[in-house]
Amino acid sequence: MRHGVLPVGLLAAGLLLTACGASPTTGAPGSAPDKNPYAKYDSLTGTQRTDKLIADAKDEGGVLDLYTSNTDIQDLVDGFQKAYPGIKVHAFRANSETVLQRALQENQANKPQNDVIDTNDLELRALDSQHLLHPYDGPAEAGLKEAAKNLGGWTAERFNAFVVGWNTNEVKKGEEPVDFADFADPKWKGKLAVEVGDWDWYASMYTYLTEEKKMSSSDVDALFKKIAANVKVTKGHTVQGELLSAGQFGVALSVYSHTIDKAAAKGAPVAWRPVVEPVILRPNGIGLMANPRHPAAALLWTDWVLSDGQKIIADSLRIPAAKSVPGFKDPIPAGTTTYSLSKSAETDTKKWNTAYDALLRGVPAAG
Amino acid sequence: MRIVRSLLSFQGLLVGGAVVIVGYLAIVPLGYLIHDTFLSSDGTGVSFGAFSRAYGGNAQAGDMLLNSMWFALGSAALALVLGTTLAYVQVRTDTPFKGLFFAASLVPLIVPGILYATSWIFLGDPSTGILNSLVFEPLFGATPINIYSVWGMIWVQGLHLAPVAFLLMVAAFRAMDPSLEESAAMSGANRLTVLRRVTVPLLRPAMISAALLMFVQSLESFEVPGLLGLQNGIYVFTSRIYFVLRAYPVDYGAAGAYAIGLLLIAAAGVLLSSWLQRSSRNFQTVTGKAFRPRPVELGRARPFVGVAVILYFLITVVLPVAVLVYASLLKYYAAPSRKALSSMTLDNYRAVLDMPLAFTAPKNSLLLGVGAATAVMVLTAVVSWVVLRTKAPGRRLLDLLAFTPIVIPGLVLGLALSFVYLRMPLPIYGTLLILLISYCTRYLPYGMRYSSAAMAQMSPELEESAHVSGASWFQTFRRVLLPLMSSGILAGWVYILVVSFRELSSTILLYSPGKEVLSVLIWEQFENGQFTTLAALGVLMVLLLVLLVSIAYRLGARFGLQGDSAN
Repeated sequence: MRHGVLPVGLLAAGLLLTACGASPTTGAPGSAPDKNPYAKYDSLTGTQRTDKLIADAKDEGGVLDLYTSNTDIQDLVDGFQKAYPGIKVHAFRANSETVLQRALQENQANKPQNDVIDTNDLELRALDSQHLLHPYDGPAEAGLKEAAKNLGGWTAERFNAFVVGWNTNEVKKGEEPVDFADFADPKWKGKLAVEVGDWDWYASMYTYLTEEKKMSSSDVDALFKKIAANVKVTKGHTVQGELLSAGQFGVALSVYSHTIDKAAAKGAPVAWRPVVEPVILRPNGIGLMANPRHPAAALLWTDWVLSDGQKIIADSLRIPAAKSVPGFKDPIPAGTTTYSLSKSAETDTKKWNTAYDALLRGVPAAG
Repeated sequence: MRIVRSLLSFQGLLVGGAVVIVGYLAIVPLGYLIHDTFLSSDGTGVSFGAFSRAYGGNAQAGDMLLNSMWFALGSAALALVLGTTLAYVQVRTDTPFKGLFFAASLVPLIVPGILYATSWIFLGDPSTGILNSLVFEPLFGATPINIYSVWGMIWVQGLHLAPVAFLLMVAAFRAMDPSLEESAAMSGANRLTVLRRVTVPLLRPAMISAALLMFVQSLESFEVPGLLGLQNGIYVFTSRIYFVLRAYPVDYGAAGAYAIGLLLIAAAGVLLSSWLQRSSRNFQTVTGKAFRPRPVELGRARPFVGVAVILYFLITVVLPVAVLVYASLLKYYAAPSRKALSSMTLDNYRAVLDMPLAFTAPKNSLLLGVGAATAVMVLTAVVSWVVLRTKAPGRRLLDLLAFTPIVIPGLVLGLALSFVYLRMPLPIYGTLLILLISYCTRYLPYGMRYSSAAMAQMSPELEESAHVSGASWFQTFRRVLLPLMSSGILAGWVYILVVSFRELSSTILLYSPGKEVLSVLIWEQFENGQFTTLAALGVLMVLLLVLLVSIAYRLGARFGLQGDSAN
């Protein structure tokens, strides 16, 4: 035993591994599927459609596999199961990068495990570019805002609003920030906070300034450089919101409106109105998978989320994608400038991600 | 033929099986990593482009590496000094408050890193921190504590890591014959000389193991640097990996290049440690001679040690946990005031218990934690025997291989495993089993260090006498080695159990609906929830783990461990 066993063992382990597959990254992610799994429901509307979908969903096993990065998903799952008690929803929740990676990996291996995906816009765009999504054109589409549809293989179901929020003890009434460009003033030094992963906020803000405000790229770079000199970087929106409530810094440049609204409702000294324009609206969307295991359940879920489910989205202080939701009062005051990444915008996530990283570290972006 | 024959014996099957499993566990992610790092962009040849993408351009790799090294060395040193001192006082003296002591030594490990660091933000923020505003400002008129500095990071990380050293060193002290120190003392050496010339040298294997683990773990962690360092622009090596892994398409090559950088440092550490242990006889404190560790009488120093114990307990356990408990009772975090105290409520605990997964998640975490801890300790006990006791060629390589998972980023491990098991016909993907495999891989290096530190203290004469008396290899292993190593094995088991409860980076990719674990719940609250609810979840998790660990030590005591934790 004392000799020889070890190399044999290692060899065996190596052989086992090589048997498992040659190359981790080769293998084309799904090409455009030749058949449409949702085709037989295209012409149906109203209760006829719903009844057929329910019946077929039960035949499929009464299960829906959902991948999501929406942290309020439980409310939607509960609402859906109340509306359709026969269908069980299995929700995989993770951050948007992980949701994307998981769906890509499974489809590369030809073992798709989910029917519907619910995540942020840039991840949905990435999936769509791999032809893994199927566009939704069901009856609920008619009720949606213009900004929510015709996005390719996915449809917006809600918007997260990135706003500038502040602590009302640290920033007194009458001294609230007015214009985003003001934050370049050295008087804000050490009083501003951004989140380390919010490159999508940066991408939107940057594009807004160049496309809508017609600033030159070098001016925008210069502005952000001055602002970056004033900021503290935090990690995680929950911690950022809590530190803002605690007065650890005066202003958070990129918080979600619902984080502030929920904290304010509990009495925390935080506010985001009067609004520092623009409010960045980031569409979070829903995508039907091109290769679902439960197509009827997927369609039933999507129909529901884009119609009745909108009320639940509104109740969790998010901004629904539907034009009108009974009882919903838009948290964004009328007349406020809002902005979402345009279709022409640069959506190379790697570029924005490295640029934001370089900005925060205070090094030139090239490289 | 001889190989075939020895492979087919029971011993051969057991040892060979353990080696194959450990090799397999380590090679899967490593192979995936190396493949992605060195594959050129056209997919055919070997390329080093990933390294220039990772370290070149504006990456500031040098600065960040220096920050990382400074942070990691400082944390490892602090943790080693604290952990070793604590272990010495715990095992070898008649200090008062031993029970308290044990809690003080383990609780910082149990509190998840994000919560431990956040607690320290609320304590040590230069303007609003409780320590500054309620203690130093009124008493001394100054606010000296700034948690957002390298020193603050080292402090928090060092305290958080001290249990790693403590667990290893307790095991080592227990397996050490005090008569060596006594004879030194008899020969006229004073206490300091005994410590310097006898005690510390004897404990070298365990101390090196602890230092290595803690150093590499600090290099690789992003929790403390992310929460504390970023505020003042202190960037570390791992922030690079963090950014690389968030983009799409992920530049696995660059991520791999960082991991390989870490791997080189870690490999140097492993080789250095085996070189330092080359004259293995020097450390074998468990020999055929019986010994009974007799506590050192502290005498007049006893009250002072008692006060120090209480102070340490206050600073590392009571303060941060109290902040968590305090936060968990509020609606939103505010520094203590009459208004804040009057608004306290149990709503956050209600919210936690109302979560649909409030019961499934702890159950799955428990299954996985116990499973991974047991599997890893059994495997590594056998493998450390191979590494330390046989002359098998390649044993150094095996030791090194078993250490590699420590540098593999969790997400890369997750991707490697999902890649392999999505293509394997066995039903492993989408079950708890894939999480178990992932945890076994991640904690293999820890198990290996705990086991080999314990094994290094055993003198082979015990095995030889068992062998001479006719015991088979398996009997010797089970009846002689395992019981003698039990302190070390239990320590490793407890460590893996605790840390597997908070493993997230590979879990988040690999778990499946219905198979959620506690760390997924924590993540959800951290990502976009209320800090107060997160704190409540953290408090409940600490309670659960303290209970589990005490049970483990009670059981350990029943099975022949010296139970000096309880008195």
